[in-house]
Amino acid sequence: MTQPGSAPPVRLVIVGHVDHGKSTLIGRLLYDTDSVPEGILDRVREASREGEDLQFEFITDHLAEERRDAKTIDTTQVFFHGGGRHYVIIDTPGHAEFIKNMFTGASRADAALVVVDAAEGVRKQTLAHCNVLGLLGIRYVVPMVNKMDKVGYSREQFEEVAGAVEARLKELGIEPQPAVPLSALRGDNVVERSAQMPWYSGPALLEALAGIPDPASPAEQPMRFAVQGAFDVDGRRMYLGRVEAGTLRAPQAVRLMPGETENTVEAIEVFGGGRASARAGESIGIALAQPIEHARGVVLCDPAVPPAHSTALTGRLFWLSDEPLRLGESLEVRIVTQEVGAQVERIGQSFHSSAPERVRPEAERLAYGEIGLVDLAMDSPLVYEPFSRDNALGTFVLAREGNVVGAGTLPE
Amino acid sequence: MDKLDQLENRSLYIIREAYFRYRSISILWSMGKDSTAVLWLCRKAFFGQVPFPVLHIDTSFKFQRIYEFRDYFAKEWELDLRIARNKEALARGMSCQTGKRLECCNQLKTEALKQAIAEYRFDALLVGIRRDEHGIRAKERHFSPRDQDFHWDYMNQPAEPWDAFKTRSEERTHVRVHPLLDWTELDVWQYVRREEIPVIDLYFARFGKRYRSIGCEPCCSPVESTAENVDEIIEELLTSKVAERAGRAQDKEDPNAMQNLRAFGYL
Repeated sequence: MTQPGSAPPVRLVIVGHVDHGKSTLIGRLLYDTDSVPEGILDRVREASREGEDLQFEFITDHLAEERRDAKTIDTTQVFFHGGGRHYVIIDTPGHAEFIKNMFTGASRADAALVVVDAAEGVRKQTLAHCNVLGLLGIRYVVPMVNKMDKVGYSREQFEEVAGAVEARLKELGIEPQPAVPLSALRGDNVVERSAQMPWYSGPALLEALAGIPDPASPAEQPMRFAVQGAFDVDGRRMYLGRVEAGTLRAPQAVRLMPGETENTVEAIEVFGGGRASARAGESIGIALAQPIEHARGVVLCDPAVPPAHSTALTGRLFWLSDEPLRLGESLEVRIVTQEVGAQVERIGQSFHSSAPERVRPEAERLAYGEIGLVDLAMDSPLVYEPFSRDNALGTFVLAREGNVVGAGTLPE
Repeated sequence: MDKLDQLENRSLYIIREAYFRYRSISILWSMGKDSTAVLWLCRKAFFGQVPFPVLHIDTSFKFQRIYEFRDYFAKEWELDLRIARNKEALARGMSCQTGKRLECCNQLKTEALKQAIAEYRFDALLVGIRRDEHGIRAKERHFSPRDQDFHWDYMNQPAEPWDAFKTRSEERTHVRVHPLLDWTELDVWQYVRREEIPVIDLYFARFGKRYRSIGCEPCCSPVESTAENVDEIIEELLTSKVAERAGRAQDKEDPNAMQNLRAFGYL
């Protein structure tokens, strides 16, 4: 049965500098595709001041503070159906102080739209957000040059701004899709192609979305299963967790990492019965031939292609806390369900995400919104992979007392 | 994996993280379709058991059908059911007729929950809210902290990159864990159909009306509908543009009512 809703949605994040029109763009997209629930549309009409244009950003900005100050504070997700596909559209705040929320919103995205004001061009938070997209490895990025009505629908202005964004993205190793000129306020090139820009022959925003490839499945990668914990079912010890990459079969010989012991998965269980195999993304229970102690954080691997393990790690870190990271500080490092204590040995190659040209080769601290190449010395070994090969074992977070304060990816 | 498989698997992961990382967890069960779906997911996560208490915040104004449903499935699924009421406020005669509606919600729901958390010392609560229900809920995290007074610090929410969650509650605080946050109303109904999850018949149309969202009897009104079973509800949702909580009185008091309720600890 293929009715709408059967395929997983495409997760699309909208990023860009404050006031460049992210929330307005989403509001307009929903409005023009008739996707706004009736009750909510009434409230938007009421809240918009009399005699003015509809405040499209009210469709996504719901906090009283957001409406009063006309700025998005926290990320919002809206569900949208168009062109036979489902989308989750993630609106993110453009203010520097809320980049933690932007990072959270972008971290699970399949694709990104970078919104840039046609009159203002690339600004600080445009840069910061592009840096986050680069760090998160988001490959499908479409620049959106907004507010074309403010620059008289000028082709020259569009090409200049689009060229500047494209150059920035390319520096980060992202090959952007062709830019789209639009006006979210006026509805030009959002759902339908606009007559205002006859010089533009490319797609409107809604058509451009159709080009986003379906989310890739990591089912073809080497098998990795991360244990969340042990749980007894009718006297039988089960290990609960998720296949993070590849496909697990039963029975299957596996290597338990980081201890490097050989074992056998005897059964894969879900409530209601056994299974012969489980693919990446599936939450299951397994039975092992030899029971193990301290199950949480053990990673089961295909013994033919084991991941690296070490007590030293270098990661590209984005700092997400108001309280800076300090050289020599001890904190928790997590990779999937693994968690160990670690000390910060070096903060190299650091810069603020909105000023990538000012690189400090060595630093004592990493402040909120800064990116650095960080060396960690762990209390015990961790299993990991380069991010380019494994999206799960290639990402890490740092935590203080259980609170996530930094996140990053592992280079080759 | 199709969409429902993907949602289910991630919810199972979240529920298991809550169970393995927190000392004392519970699930809030209102017997509505969403929290019943969370309860169903808990049973799937732990092979048919629910290895922690199930908490019902009882205002005493729920539909009779809700109480019957609760008692039947609490027995059927062998739940460790705890029922929490704000006895002091009820003894004072608090109701939405005597007090203001928001005051009644605060006293009989939020205060009752505070009392239950103080009594049982829960540090994590599984709750069935979804982003698509309300713009304020869209801003939530999967693991969302509440302080001693239940305040939700929405201006400073935790970073939640990938599936890395807040894993510890400070003394006398708790986290709200939201396994259904990424689900839509349609997803829940499609899951109810696929899994044959029992739902209260108030959701099905009688005499041209049905409840789309259920809570206290005096504060819920049915919406126009001819959907008499799960298939017809799914069909209706695929074409409807009426907001889900259109029948919920407390959302209508003023445009920021939901934010005000939530800032003080409401779900």
